Amino acid sequence: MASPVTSPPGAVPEAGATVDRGVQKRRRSAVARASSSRVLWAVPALVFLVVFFVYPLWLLVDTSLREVSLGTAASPGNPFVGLDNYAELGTDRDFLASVPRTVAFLIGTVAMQLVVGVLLALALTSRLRWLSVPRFVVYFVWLLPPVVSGAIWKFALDGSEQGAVNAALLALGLVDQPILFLTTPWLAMVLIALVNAWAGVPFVAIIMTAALKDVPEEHYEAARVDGASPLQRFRHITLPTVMPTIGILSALLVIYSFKAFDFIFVLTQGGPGTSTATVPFLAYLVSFTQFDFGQGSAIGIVAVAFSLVFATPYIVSTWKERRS
Amino acid sequence: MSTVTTERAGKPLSSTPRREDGDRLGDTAAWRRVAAVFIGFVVVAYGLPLFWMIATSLKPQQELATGSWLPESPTGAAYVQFFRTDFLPALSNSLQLSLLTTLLTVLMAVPAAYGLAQSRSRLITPALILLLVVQMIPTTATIMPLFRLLSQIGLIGTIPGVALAQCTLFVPLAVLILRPAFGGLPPALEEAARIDGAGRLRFLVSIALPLLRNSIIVTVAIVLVSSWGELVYPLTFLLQEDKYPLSVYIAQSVGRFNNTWNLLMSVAVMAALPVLLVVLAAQRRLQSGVTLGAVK
Repeated sequence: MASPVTSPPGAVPEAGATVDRGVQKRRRSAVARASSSRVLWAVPALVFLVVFFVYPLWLLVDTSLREVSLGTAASPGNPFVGLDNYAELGTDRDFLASVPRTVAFLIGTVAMQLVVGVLLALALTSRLRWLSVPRFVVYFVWLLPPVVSGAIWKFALDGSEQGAVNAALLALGLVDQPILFLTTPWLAMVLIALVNAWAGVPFVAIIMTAALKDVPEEHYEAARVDGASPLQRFRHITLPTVMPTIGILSALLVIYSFKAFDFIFVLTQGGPGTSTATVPFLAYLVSFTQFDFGQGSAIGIVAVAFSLVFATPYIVSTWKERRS
Repeated sequence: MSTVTTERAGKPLSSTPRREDGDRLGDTAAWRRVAAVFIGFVVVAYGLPLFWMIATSLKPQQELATGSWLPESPTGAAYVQFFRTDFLPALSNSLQLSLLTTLLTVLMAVPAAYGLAQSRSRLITPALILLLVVQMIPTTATIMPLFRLLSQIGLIGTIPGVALAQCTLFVPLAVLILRPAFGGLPPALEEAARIDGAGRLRFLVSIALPLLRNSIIVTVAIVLVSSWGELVYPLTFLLQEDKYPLSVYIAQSVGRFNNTWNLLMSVAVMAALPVLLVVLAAQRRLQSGVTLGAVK
């Protein structure tokens, strides 16, 4: 860093003051330079994301305004059709059915993850013994590749007597015929929501365990002294303290569950037909099984718009935090 | 750590074990019983599917039709068959893909996390929001345009191409986990290093990284395991079967192996093994990383 220049001795006061201001200015700009040169270290990653994310997003917008089929997908200059692809969505039965289905799926799967995950975190921070076993299971399942857990559930829910669940139901005499778990549309969708929740609960439990440990022990002591019941303690101490975490977590769960691809792909491939496809999964199906890339891109843009809406509270809170 | 209040001071300390993870709903017998039952339920709900996976992978072919939960005459035949056929190339592809993805991610994310921590620049808020948004966009929306981009630069159908695509998922994640860690380093540390004549690179490599090794290890573990299991991009960008990693192999086999669950479950076990090792090695460190990264 440049060493500060002292004002020459014997200089008139006014001149000295000017020099000092100049020094200050130079010093400030040296600090600014130092911090702006530090931010340059983020440039490679940001350039990478612009090339491999922002530019593809632009390509997606462009494709959604064109008529693109399998043969012409790679070449530029597909016919421009304006908003036709979007207008077609208004009468597209598959798409129109996928929207309420996605909403129901999100509500169901996120609610299950939150309730079970928070309860699990409470149980994991209790004074029970042997908690290292469930803790280990939680971390293991959290990191287990979705395609692996999806494959296990695909086997367990197989619609023949080979599936573990059907085998048990038949052996116990609860059913006469194996249940077609993954080929009955509504049932398959419920089960996808369940499997997604099964895989998501560990994440909630991990985050919430950490949040619960941050609640000051003294607050519980004080409540105990005041004779508060366990439920009162939960309502008036635990819940208010961890509420911000639950809020952020809910937003993240909606976003993550909306992105869910692996479970749907492994369990049903979105079928029968498109009856278990969420909006993002339908974008995949239309592009890569029907090869209607224009239409698929339009659905993709709708999916992007949805996720931006879901992400808004999260982004706004980050923005505000940066401002303060 | 222990803060014994006056009310408790009279009791012997041994009767009030003060563990870090104290009770949250009160230490009543009723709550303990509820918690124990709930934990039991969770262990069964997660243990049973994992048990099915292992038990089925040990079944001989002729036992698959019975659907019983336990193999009558357990055998490693499914594993043997796999090692003889498709398994080794898929394992090698998985390793190449996840190692390359992790390497590229760390090379981009560590400097980025350093650059975005602490410094006051107008670039930071937009950069952070870009990172958040990238994480939130469904991957299915970007498959098609990324396919075109990778074709344009001649990387479609290659493992490096898929690794680059996967980096869009993991660079933001890694930066968001690592940035608070860099932010936690005292500014005086870098100042002192600079006075001693160390440049930024020197400071980063010889001072910051050793101090932050826990966060780095957590980030590497999470990225390694996530790229190991990632499905969308290898599924759509690798055009030949001999390039498929285990994740794609499993996803494709679910349809193909309709009646050979023992084979499929043996691949699932092999794909789960590295995850088991990572969790065994890094469980304690993981807790801090997830907390910092995912929710602030």
